[in-house]
Amino acid sequence: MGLEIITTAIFNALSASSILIVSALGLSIIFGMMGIINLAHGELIMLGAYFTYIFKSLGLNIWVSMAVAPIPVALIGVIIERGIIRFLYGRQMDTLLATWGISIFIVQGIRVIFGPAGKSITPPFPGTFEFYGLSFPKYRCLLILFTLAILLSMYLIFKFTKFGLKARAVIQNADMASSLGIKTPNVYMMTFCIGAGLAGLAGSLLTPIINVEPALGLKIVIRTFLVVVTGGTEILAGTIAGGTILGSTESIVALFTSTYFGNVILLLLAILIIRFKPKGLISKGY
Amino acid sequence: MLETKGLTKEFDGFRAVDNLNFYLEKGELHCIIGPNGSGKTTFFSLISGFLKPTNGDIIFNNEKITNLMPHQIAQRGIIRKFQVPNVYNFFTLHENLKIPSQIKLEGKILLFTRSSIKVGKKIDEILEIIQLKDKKKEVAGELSHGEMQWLEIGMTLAMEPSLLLLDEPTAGMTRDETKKTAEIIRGISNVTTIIIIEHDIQFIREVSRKITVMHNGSILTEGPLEQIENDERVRNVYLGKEK
Amino acid sequence: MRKIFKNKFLILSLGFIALPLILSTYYVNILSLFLIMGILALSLDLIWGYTGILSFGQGAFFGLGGYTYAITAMNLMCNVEIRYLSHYTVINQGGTTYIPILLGILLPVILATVLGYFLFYARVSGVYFCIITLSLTLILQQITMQLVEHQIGNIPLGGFNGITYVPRISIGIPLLFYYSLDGPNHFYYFVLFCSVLSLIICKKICNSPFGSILTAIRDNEIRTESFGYDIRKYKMIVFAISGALAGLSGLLYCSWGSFISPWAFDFFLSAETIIWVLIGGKGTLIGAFVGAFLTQFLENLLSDILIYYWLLIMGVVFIVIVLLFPKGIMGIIYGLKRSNLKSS
Repeated sequence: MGLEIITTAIFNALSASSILIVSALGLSIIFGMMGIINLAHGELIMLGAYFTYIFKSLGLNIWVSMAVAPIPVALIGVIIERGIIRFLYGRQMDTLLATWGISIFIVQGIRVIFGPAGKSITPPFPGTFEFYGLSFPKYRCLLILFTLAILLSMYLIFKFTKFGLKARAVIQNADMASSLGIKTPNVYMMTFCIGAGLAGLAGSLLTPIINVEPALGLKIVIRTFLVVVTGGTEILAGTIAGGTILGSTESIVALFTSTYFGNVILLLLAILIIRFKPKGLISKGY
Repeated sequence: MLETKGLTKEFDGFRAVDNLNFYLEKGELHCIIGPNGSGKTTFFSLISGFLKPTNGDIIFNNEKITNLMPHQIAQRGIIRKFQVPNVYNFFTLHENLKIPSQIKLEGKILLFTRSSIKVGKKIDEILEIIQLKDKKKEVAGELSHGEMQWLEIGMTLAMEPSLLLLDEPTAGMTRDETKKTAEIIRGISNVTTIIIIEHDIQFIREVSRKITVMHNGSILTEGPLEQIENDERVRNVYLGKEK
Repeated sequence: MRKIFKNKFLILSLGFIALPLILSTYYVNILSLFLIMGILALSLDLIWGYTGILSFGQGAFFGLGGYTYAITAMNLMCNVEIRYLSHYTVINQGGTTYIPILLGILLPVILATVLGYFLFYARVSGVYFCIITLSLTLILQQITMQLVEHQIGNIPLGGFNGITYVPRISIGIPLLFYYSLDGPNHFYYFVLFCSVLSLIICKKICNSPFGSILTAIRDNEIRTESFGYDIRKYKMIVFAISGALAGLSGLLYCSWGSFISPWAFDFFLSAETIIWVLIGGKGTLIGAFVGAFLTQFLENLLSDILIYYWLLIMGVVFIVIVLLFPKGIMGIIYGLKRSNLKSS
């Protein structure tokens, strides 16, 4: 009896954490590199989901749709950065507000084009794995693996590519980096592009398990912000830390009580963490 | 009056202040000099509470103030003038001076009270000392660099500090402005103990009696100006010969 | 300068007092709503425009004030009979609503103080503060949406449908007589009274030494702290005051429609509040009312035609203001006045 609950709890924790991590990664990159919170992040995730739906309706295979959907979202990210964010460098609070305006615009835009009702997509891997009488939804297992794969690729990109090196230099000291010849605005543009792309990817990966609707972003977005804010400015380590702690706690509490209590505990836990570590769990600087 | 024992501040392995034992008596007009990066401003930040030391203690008037918050330290009479002019850019000079004056004179600030006449008088006094009376209604952001420095000095004076920390008060000033600053400081030195971080030798000559030279976070040597000027090591440190 | 302001203010107040005489009931009701939202905007302007702390938590206090009022009033004054699930009938026994009003303001103040303590004493600021306050508001929304049959006292929370048949504000002397402000004109005057009172209180606070400290904190926190001010305490106090105003706005809103629902915590209401303050002029206090009025008036006028597009336009307006007109209407007007004074 005890072992069943523990296994279910662990699986739920892993699943919830992986969803949080994959959703928050795009936001974390933008926050860690540029110091801004992109309030339109939820909407970028939502766009990823919608593009997946569009591509699938056009007849593409579900896996292909999911793979291709992030690309238009990344392009939208570039447009946002070049069109609006670029004028607000250094004005952190104003950027926050501007991205909020963008978020409202995107939500309403989608509502106008597609209507407020949701669309649903059948999971490409329906069914569950059966293990000693416990069932684990197949797609969620896949999602955990995908998350690990994404984290690994991000790590490799940052560590071993030219872009990764430039990015790390800019994170450490933007002025220094630009005086060394690194074109900081270009790095920022690429960052937003990648951040948006990751958001889009998260959206497409999540389509099988959530309702694809205009309000999708809003529903996910609080958690994502809390993950980034409690995780800290270290991009990979922080997101993993924040996502795992918040995700596991919420899912375990929800397992034993109810979903909304899980919500409350998540917020309280986040406030507590910020109270004692105002810059997040894992961040650079003092 | 002020003593630090083994004061150390580390940033990720870099020791900005290293085992500093500083001793200051009441009534001194003490200068701290040293090449850039020797830890002078960090030292001030540690005393005024904006940074917490990694190790060591700070004792002021026989009280350990090491872990107090900046506002608590200010309430004990240690007031600081920052390296870069740090005033309220959007306030007039009058309003700028009101902020320190009112807390000094009125203590508890209640929600619905009005400013008292005492505060107004004090503001005029200070403007007299820093010789900016005619600019009372101007916005601080529009002052010249030197005037901003004086304004900030004036604001610190409004707090009637027992210990005044001045961080590069003559930075960016002309010859004449520096002279005027020296006058102002000499004028208050009999009621206030002052520590000044400076680079300008002429200025130091006009104001101070005792000098400490810092290097790599600790004290290299101390003494009166003539002794320091003739010290070989000090010259080397400034010219970069000695590490 | 202040004399001129008083005169204009007087004229404006008289104008507002006279309005119900010429407008129909429908418009008087709408005007009440505009004023109520103005108070909400004022609460944001106090903490953000004046003290420089952007809080997304005003919605939380607004909703909390509304729900507290509803639950207290109905528990104290009504006989509630639950039919099935969350459907119920209500018989209003009558009485004064002083206690619901008091609690409707007190609970948000307590929440604001506790939250302020946790956040300001940990020196949380900027984006972190925004995110936490935003999360608070949104999570309160999720909670109220999911608690359908859950009851506090006799009143089920109603989930998505909210609480209906909430008694209107009634004044009088407890146990002796009461007068319920059912008529739109009477309610309007009460709301007007609250608005003017709030504005006067805020003006008094901002013109006092306390107010200059708030502006000093906004301008240069470190400098202010190094003069011996415990800025954490000041932030917490002003946050509590703004929470009280938002709570007042919330309970007035609940009484206005005799209804409160999770919409009070909505993301978009918080966004609109920020837009109102920006349009009207951040930090000008009266600008909060100007922005709230203007925007709601235009929305009223145009939303029949535009519906979905209205929100789209709002989004664009938001972006444009942040990029190009950060001073807002009153900010520009005051700026012009100042340069007029200088040149003359």
